This record gives sequence, C-alpha cells and structure tokens, in this order.
Amino acid sequence: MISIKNLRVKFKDTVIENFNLEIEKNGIYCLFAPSGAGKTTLLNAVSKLIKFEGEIKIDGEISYLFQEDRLLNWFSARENIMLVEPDEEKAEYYMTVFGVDEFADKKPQELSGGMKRRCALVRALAFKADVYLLDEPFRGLDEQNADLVRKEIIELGKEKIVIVVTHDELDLEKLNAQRITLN
Amino acid sequence: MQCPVRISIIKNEGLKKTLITVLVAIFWIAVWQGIYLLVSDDLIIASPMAVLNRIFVLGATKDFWLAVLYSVLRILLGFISGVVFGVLMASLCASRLLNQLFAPIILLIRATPVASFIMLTWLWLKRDSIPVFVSFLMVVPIVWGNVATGIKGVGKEYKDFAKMYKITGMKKIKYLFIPSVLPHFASAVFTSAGLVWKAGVAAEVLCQPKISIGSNLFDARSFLDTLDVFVWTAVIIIISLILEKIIKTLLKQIEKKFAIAGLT
Repeated sequence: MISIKNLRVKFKDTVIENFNLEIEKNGIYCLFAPSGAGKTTLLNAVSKLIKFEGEIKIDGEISYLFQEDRLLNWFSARENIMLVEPDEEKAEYYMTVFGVDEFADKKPQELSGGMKRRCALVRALAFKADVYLLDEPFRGLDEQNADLVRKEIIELGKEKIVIVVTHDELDLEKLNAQRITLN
Repeated sequence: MQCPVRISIIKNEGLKKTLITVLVAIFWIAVWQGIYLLVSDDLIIASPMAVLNRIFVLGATKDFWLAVLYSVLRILLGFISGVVFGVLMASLCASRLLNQLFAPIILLIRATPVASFIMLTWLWLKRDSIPVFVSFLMVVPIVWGNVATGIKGVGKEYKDFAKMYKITGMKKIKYLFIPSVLPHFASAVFTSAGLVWKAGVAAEVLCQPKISIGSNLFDARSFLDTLDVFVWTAVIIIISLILEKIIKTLLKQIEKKFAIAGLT
C-alpha cells in the first residue's frame, strides 16, 4: 500500500505541489509527466532520499531502479547484483532471462549501455521488496530486451506494487498498467 | 660497422628493459667520470670508483648499518604515523563542519617550509624525535588531501544507492568507500614516500641525532670530506630507490585486489 497526501517537494529547479496518491492493490502503475515535471523527484521523495512536506506512507520495503545505473566499476556485473543481497534464486532467474549471465564476470566499464541497464534491472527486480520503483527501465534497451523486461514486470505486478516511469504512452497498454499523472 | 648488441632484436621485454637501464646507468657514470677528470680536484668532486670503494669500506662497519637502520626507522615511523593520521583526519573531515574547522591546519602545514618546522620543533622536541615529526608533517597533508578527494568521489547518488539497498556500516566502507579512496591513497603514499625521505634526512642534517645518515653527511661536510658527502648522498639515493620499489610493489598488490576504481 502507498498513501501520499498533500505532498510538497522542492528539489533544485523542480517543485511538486499538493500531490496525492492512493495505491492499495498490487499491480503496475505508469507515471507520466512532461519532461522536468518531477517524476524522478517524486520517486526520490517516495524513497525518502530527499526532504518533503506532507505525508508518505508505504507498507513494506522499496526497491528502486534509479534513472542512472549506479553500478560500481570495481565489481563485476554479478558482484554488483549480489552486493545488495537479493533473493538469490530470483537473481539467477533474471540474470538468465535478461542475458546478464553472458557477461556476468565483466566489469561495468566493459559493458554497453544496454548491458548496464539490464544488470541494474536484475539488481532492482531481485531485491526483496514490496514496492518497486522503476525509473525508465527500458532506457537504452533494444526492443527485444525491452519486451523481455516488460514481460517480467507484468509477472512482478501480480504480486507487488510496481511504479514505472516511462515516456511511452504505449507502455500503458503493453504493461496493462494504470496511469498516474504528475502535472 | 654493426653494433655488437642490437637491442631491437632482443625479444625478451624484461631483459631488454634491464639492458637499457644498465646502459643508461653506464652512460651517466661515464659522464660523472668525465666531469671528475675535467675538474681534477678531489675537494670539489669525488670519482665514481672512489665512491664505490668507500661504500664497500663503510658497508663493512657496524656504525654504517646502525646509521642507516636508525634513519630508516625514524623516517618510517614518521611516514607510517603520518599516513594513519592523514587517513583518520580525511575520514573525520568527511563531515563539512569538521572539514571547515581543520582546513586552515592543512593549509598551514602545506605552506610552511620544512626548514621552519625543523627550527621550530628543535625548540620543542628531542633531536632524535625531530626527523620523525618532520617526516610526519610532510606526509599528513598529502594523504589527508588525497584521501579526502577519494571520499568525496563517492557522490550522493552512490550514498543514496547504498541507503536504498541497505548497504550500511562496514559493508558500505569496504565496498563503496575503500575502492574509491584506494587510487588516491596509493598516489598519496607514493608521492609522500619520495618527499618524506628527503625531508627526514634534511631534518637529520640540521638537528643531528647521534646515530643517523644526516649526522654523517653533516660531519663529512664539516671536515671537507667530499668523498664521504658523495658516499652518504649515494646511500640516501640507493635507500630511496629501494623504499620506492617496496612501496610500489605493496601498492600494486593492494590495487590488484580492487582493480580499476571509478563509479559509473
């Protein structure tokens, strides 16, 4: 469950005023907003990484796929994933499905943008949580990999709350998601 | 006429490197010998052979090794305590308030000439402790500054990442901060190792602890014993090279463990 009441956030040039949201059921929720309207700022506030006014209540743990990959260069792809102590079975599963196992021993500086994104996705999805915040999960992925990720997000949405930040209106249909709008 | 040894056809890279080093050394010793022959005054310059002979003579005495041992220990003590203190201060000053509080101290140490420190500490400390303290002061600002840069290298985005994924305490230090700090730390240790040795011996020359390389160098100069000045200088250079090699090897071992640092 997520409950946000009268949220006010001011972070750098972004201001979110009087934002309200109630999510009670598991499922997928796509967050849409014009560029610079504060989608990432909202996720940061929900994760309590930045200061805010108002009320944010979340039942359970959060896993957050940041807009940037935030991989540690001195660890291999596998070590980056295992560092966060994920559900190991899930981590192995996602690594196989997303093809991360093919470059698991390589370090981030040896990987392409898409590979890094897939690695960050495995890390976020395999982390034991109740709410998943995914900031642009398809960024840098080719259509084939994006479809694989969508399929797994749909599965995850059956048991958890998944909030996806995306620019593509089609994702709403592809993910069978509900819309959250931030003006 | 063909050169008897063609370096370009030597395939073994290690051998090639050693050969080039030896040839370069021979060249410069020949230049030294040439200058010696040109000057022809033992009071101004000693010959390479005389220096080598004297090193062997001194090397056979207990006093020589005691002087080397005491100097190395003194400077090493200052060096190690400087490294430890520098790391501690950099870690403490990760907090902005403490950083602002201690910033003038680091500036002061950086700006003060070594000679001033030697003169000042002469008034406060026993002569045996002065080289230790001066070595310590040489190392602290370098290690402090570099380690602080490494700590700052872990930006807010990575601290947020650690917070979200519950990477806290020792795990955070081990997996996030140490790999980021390590290259800066290695560079600080390497730079300060060269400086500390020179500054430490300079302190010994000025304050003359009983058993030390610096005192021997000072005595040699006082008695216009040019040969011994050259000998002790050569000893200082040789020890410096050995220490540099040891530190390089140690740092390589540590760096290997963490591979290339950086955040993406």
